[in-house]
Amino acid sequence: MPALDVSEIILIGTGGGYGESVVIHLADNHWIVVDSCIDPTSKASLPMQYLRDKGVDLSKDVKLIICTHWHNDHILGLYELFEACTSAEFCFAPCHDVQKFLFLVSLDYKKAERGIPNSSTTIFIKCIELARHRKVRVKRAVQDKLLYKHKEYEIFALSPSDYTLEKYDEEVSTLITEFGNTDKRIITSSPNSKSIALYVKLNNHRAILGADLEVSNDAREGWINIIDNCTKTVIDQKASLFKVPHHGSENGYHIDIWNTLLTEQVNANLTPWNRKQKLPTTQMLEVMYGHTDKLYITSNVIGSKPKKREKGIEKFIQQINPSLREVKFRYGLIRCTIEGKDPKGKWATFTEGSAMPASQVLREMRTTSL
Amino acid sequence: METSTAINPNLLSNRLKNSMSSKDEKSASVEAAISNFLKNKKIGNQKSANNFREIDEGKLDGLQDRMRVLLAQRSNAPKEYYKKTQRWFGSIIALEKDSFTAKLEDLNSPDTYEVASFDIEDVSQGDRDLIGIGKNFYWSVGYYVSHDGQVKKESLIRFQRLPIWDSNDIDEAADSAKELHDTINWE
Amino acid sequence: MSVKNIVEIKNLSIVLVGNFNPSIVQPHWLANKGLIREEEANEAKIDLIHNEYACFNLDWARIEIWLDKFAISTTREPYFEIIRDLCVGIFSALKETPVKAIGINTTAHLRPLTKKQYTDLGNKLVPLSNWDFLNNPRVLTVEMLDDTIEGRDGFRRIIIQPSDRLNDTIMFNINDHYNFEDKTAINNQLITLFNNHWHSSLEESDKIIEKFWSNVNLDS
Repeated sequence: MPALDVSEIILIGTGGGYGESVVIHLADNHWIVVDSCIDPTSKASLPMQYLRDKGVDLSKDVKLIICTHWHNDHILGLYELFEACTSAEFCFAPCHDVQKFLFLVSLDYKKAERGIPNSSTTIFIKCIELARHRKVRVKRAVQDKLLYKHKEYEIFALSPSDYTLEKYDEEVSTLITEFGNTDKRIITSSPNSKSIALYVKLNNHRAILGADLEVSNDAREGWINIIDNCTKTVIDQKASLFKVPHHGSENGYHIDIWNTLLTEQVNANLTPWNRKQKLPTTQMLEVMYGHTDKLYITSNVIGSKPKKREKGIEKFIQQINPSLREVKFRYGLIRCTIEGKDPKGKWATFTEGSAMPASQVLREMRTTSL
Repeated sequence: METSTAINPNLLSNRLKNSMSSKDEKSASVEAAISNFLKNKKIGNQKSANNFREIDEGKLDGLQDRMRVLLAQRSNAPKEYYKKTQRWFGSIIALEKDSFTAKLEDLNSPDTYEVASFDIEDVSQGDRDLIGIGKNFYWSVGYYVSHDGQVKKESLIRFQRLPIWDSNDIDEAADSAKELHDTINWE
Repeated sequence: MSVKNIVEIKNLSIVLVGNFNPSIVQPHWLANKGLIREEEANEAKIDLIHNEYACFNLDWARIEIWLDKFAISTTREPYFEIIRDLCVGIFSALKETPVKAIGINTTAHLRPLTKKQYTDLGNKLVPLSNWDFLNNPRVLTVEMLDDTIEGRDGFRRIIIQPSDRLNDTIMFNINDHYNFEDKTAINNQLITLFNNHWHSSLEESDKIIEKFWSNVNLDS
């Protein structure tokens, strides 16, 4: 367990297929969890496991759970976590017309009940119902909103912007109208634009957690909007720790983010993405290394192979569909700690599991030309 | 009143059934229902049919003899089977002109998932209208053994078909949303 | 030993007990609801459609309906989830059907045994020494009941018999029975049951076979 005056930001990764999560110790046993991810074999919520292993009293000390986007794999295991954190408030980002948003979610939940069990929607709605049952406060995240405060430790939402939420309103209306048959999953357009990026004030230090937020062509949303607006509002200091958005993709990168919002030699952490597309690319790692040497990744960007199966079946699959690839699970954790009270304090970085300095990954990628 | 949910509560092996002399004593699962039906019916002295064709050719009384033929056929369960089957539940995540990519949940061993591409040609004509982003399907590969013992490897794709919405479903979702909205402790 | 190495063939059926109208569910009715392909409805083999009993076959499933029982079964493992979906589809359309209980039934035929294993198995199930007053005692059927299942109202019934598909082996019929609380409205309960119990029911059937195999220890 960290000392009471030591702040920690822990990034948990799963290798790029089973979600990611950020666990924050502000100070004084005030813990916040952002999203959740699972071990696909045990289905255990990894942030919950981490907190338990550290001896955190889940029922008392976890104060807030933030769901950065309701409809993607970032919330696997979230319900089990929320269930255990009986004092936690819940935060997410609906569109402006919340009832309409809940209607869409309820429709999708009905679909999920019928044939698509364990979807993100099921998890999300269970969390909402649990929040209602417990009568805990449910917070709606929007740009500049203070989500949590404890003394000199605060968490603000940097996104989504008002404009994004207005667009989301219209999108939800369209989705409801075009809901279609029960056998089709709901697909929101550009879900990453609605994700909640966070500005964390840790007494004398700052961190930015980029979630999956991308750079938009429209300056009314995404990172350009944050740079234009939030630097006049909640962003009072450059961040010395950065959770790189969207797996270090080009879409999540803009030079102004690094130059305007982040200190030189910022401590930067990221998770990979390992489906058909693999992120980060060699090129983007090199770009990020142009900004900082302190770059860590929760696991390697791995090539994937088929799962091991009985020989006859394996051979047959190879004949009829050689494209079949497993999305491997790789647990990796990057823990960064700092004494918030010490203005000259520096981040210390520790890794567990498959987490490593991104330079190692870059070396391998250069060799194998991924 | 029936209470058992077993498929054949008094199942007997085929070998045993074949050794029994009574023509009427076949699979009990149908027998009970049909016996009840026939109990108070006048059987009369119609000839017995050997198959449905004879019934359809109008030689015999339709209903009762259909039932007799059915009873006679109960022991002839299909001999085909599958073995070493690997099954997945897929969800389309990308769609091209002639192919699609899907995220696949391994139904045999639901831990890590897989990703694969499929040609649209591999999808049966009757399912082609169901192809779309977000649509779900079942994929299986395995060995099919036909009734005459012929073994062949088989890959099968079938799109999921679920009930169509009705207005009650929509109303229930709307009511649920309103209730949630009104009762949540919003900040 | 994994069930994959023990079981040769698996069949599955879903049986509901309640009040049904056999003449409603017919192949073209299913196709009209979008629950099967039109071609499948055209090719379906109807044994009988009557208001007291109905029975028809699709290429991959058999549906039988009595006044008090509904059964859908398949001998094809690739179609296990598909018959479940079909069941959900049928009872979503007939949501006012009163249903008391449902059974998920797995039939597993084990891989052929050696003559010694086959004989030893019978002896382990029912010690033949207790029947030494018979000329040639052989075990035909063993039936077990587990009436305490954690977390739900129901029971599990297991019948072991000689296989009717393969020679020199046995088959397990595992009836996983669930009682419904609300005896009137089927729809939501069925969906909830399948979501909560489908995977675990199939997994549990596999585990039963694995544990049984391990306990009888025929490989030594």
